[in-house]
Amino acid sequence: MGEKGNRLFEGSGGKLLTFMIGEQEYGIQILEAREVVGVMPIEPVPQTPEFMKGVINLRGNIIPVIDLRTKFRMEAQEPTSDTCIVKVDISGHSTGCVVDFLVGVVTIEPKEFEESPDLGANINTEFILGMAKLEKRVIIILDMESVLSNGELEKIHKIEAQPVTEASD
Amino acid sequence: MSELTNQEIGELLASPREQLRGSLLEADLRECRLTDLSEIMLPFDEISEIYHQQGLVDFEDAITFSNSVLGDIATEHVSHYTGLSYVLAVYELIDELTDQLIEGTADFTTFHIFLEKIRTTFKGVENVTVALASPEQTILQDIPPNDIIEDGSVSDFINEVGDGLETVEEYLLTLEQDPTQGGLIDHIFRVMHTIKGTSGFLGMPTIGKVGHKTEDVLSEIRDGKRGLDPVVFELLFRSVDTLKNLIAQLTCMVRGEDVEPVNIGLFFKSLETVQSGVIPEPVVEPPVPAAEPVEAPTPQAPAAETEAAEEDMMDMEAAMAEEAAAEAIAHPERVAEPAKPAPAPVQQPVQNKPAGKPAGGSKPAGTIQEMLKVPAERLDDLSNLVGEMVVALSLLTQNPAVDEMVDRRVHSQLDHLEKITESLRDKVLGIRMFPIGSVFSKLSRQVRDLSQKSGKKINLELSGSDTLVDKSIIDNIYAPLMHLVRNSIDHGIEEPGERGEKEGAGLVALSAQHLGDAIEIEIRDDGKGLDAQTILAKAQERGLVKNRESLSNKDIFNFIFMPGFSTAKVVTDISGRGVGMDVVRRTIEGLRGKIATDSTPGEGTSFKLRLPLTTSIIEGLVVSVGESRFIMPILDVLQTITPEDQDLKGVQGKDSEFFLLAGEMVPIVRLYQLFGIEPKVKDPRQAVVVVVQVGSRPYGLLVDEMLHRQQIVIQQLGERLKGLKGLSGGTILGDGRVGLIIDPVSLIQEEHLHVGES
Repeated sequence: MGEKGNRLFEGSGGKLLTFMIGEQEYGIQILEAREVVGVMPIEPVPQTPEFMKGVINLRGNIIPVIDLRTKFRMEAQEPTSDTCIVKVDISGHSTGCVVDFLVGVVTIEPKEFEESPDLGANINTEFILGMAKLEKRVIIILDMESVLSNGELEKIHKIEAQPVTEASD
Repeated sequence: MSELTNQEIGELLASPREQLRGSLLEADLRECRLTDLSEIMLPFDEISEIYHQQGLVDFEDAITFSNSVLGDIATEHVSHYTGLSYVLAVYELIDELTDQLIEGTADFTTFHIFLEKIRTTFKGVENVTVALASPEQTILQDIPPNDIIEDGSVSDFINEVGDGLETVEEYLLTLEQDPTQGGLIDHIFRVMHTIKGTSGFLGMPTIGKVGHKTEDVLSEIRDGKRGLDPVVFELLFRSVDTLKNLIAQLTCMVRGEDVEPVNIGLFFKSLETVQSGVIPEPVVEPPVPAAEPVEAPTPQAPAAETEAAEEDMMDMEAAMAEEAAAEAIAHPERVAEPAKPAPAPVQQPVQNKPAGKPAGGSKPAGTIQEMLKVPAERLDDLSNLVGEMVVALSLLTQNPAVDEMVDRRVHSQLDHLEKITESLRDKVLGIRMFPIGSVFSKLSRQVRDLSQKSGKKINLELSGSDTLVDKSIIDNIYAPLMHLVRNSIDHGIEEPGERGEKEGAGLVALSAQHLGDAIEIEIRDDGKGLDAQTILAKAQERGLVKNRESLSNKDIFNFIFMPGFSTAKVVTDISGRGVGMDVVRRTIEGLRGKIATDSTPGEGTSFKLRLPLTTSIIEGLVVSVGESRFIMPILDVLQTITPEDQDLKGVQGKDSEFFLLAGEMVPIVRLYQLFGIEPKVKDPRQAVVVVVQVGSRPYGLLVDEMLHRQQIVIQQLGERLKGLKGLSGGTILGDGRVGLIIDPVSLIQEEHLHVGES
């Protein structure tokens, strides 16, 4: 088992917080999930990638919110009463993730865990830590670190400022 | 030769003294080569001869000492920097005493004592028997003069360098992993530049030297003359280590603890390797002598860290600000702080300390109030909470349900609560406010030193020293002010004799005052003013100018704040690398402030810095675009206007791209376009234009509607949204939603970028 897989069992004791996006159940390590809040007004932030929904006021703190549907290149959907925001803390930074429906907490055994599963050529595995095969469920476990990596945002930041000196006429 | 009168001796000495002065200044300001030393030695010999003939043994003695130091420099037994600082000290002594001799008031007793002291310290300074190129070369620095220890300059320096080095180390590690991040070189360069500059003025030649040499190499890297090969990294890391050890040594000295010599030879050995361009055999650390550790004695390093941690603490008066006492707080007695095994400040948050134990142990502590030392973080939390409380309360009072309440007592009770909250907020903000006088007094010292160094007589005028400003401003404003003052003296004030009809002594005036919700600090000199033509020529040479006709003088002056921009022909210890002004602007903008430059040829230059009173709460103008609301910092806003039809001008078939404001064409920047928002209004005739100033030019930001003005608590948008162009943060508005704070400077730059792309 790889380092991240190990952490799943040693750190979080195999506990996952799971939720639905579309028809698929996804899970994240329980230790990474800080809280779940219902959907609330999200203030869009200009000049950010599409998956960056904006920022919310979470009890006085401003945190950014991303939409996992958009991030996974799935069709966007209007929020429903089931839509939730899961607050995830990675390396000290909080981020909210919009999910369709919260399932709950599940504990998996190492034998049910499969690292880097072969999901066929069409599936992008870069955000996936592994898969849990339970009796009637298949949970895709997300590697939140890479989901939330700043790759796409950094591209925006790289647009360096240039001197404002040219004449405007 | 017969006995001469004092006057006659004076006349005899005049010419060689003049010559010596010039050469010494030259050598001090520049990295002089060994051949230049003869220019110092010759007049020394001449003067010595005259003293000898007149039987003035003491002078002869002093000069012989100076000459032997020069000899040590020539044979590289002592570093140029250290040696010369001793020669200079002796020279100044001789110079002053000679003046007194000519006037007939000379007293040789103190001269004797002083010279003896200089000699003894010199012997202890560098183990002069070891050549500098040896990797075992170690050094014991001089203890800095007492006055700068007492006024806190040294401890500020120690903290500043300590922090700077931490950053440099971090950047170096990043850079080593990922050499594509070449921009980090600029940051490292700036830190080294500051270290070099400050240590030069505080008289810490060894630190200055290491900083200077490192800066030279960085400069070559920046200019592409040198690659980032392992040898260079080796040198840069060595530089950081050496500086850290030197700082640790300094810390121990100031505290009066035992100090061990610090190795500087390894650094210079690395430097030699880098400069020779030969890839060496892997540098092997010389075996550590059993008795004397060559590397930093370990107990010192943690001590320095403790100090750095303590810097984060803010002194707070138990009773609220009384200004006399506040003066003392600005310099908490960090230096005198005994090195204790340092529990982290968080673990031992509130200490009841005996107040104001001065470094020398001699000052009466009579006027100082009882102090509490609390971590600055706690105060930040407190002011954030109070900010939120203000917001929460306004939510409550704006709630329609409250309005509908008929019980009048509810309203009067709410009013009461509002009043208390407001005064609570003012008090909390007041805790962080200190008089700017502490910064001014540090600057006065530097002005004095600079005046001596450059040979220009300077009158320094201070006003508004008791103006209260936020602690974060006090902490950060010194370096930029220092750069500006340095520039005024170095480049602004003319050489003696070139000042025409103006008074002989140059004027540098520093003033501070409150202007509404801002503080304005002005640095003014009556020197020769900025040379617009030279600046323009340099800007054109660097390809910064596209259309020179349209540039006003103010536009031209703004070029001096561009990175790497310098019109100085010689790079000196004082200035001329073109880093300074860039740092000044960045620092001021980091504090959410602005700089306005004004200059008249022959009459002088003035820099006006406008800063918000505090950095965490600002006065903002809330505007709306479509469904979104944005906040414009009031300091950036010149005015708001809805343009008249006849004032709107189109360009290139596009409608309404400019409007005429007081005879000036102001470009209209459509916020909805830039941010991709569907607005309610697109026609400037029905919308609102918020006129902001960026550089010296006004721009009109087109928004739907202006809502209201309010104080806002600034929050960062979080790591993932850091550095977005055009936005500097967010805030929770009265209705609980998030409003984004606009940063006009980066917004306008972004806008120009888009224009350039399309």
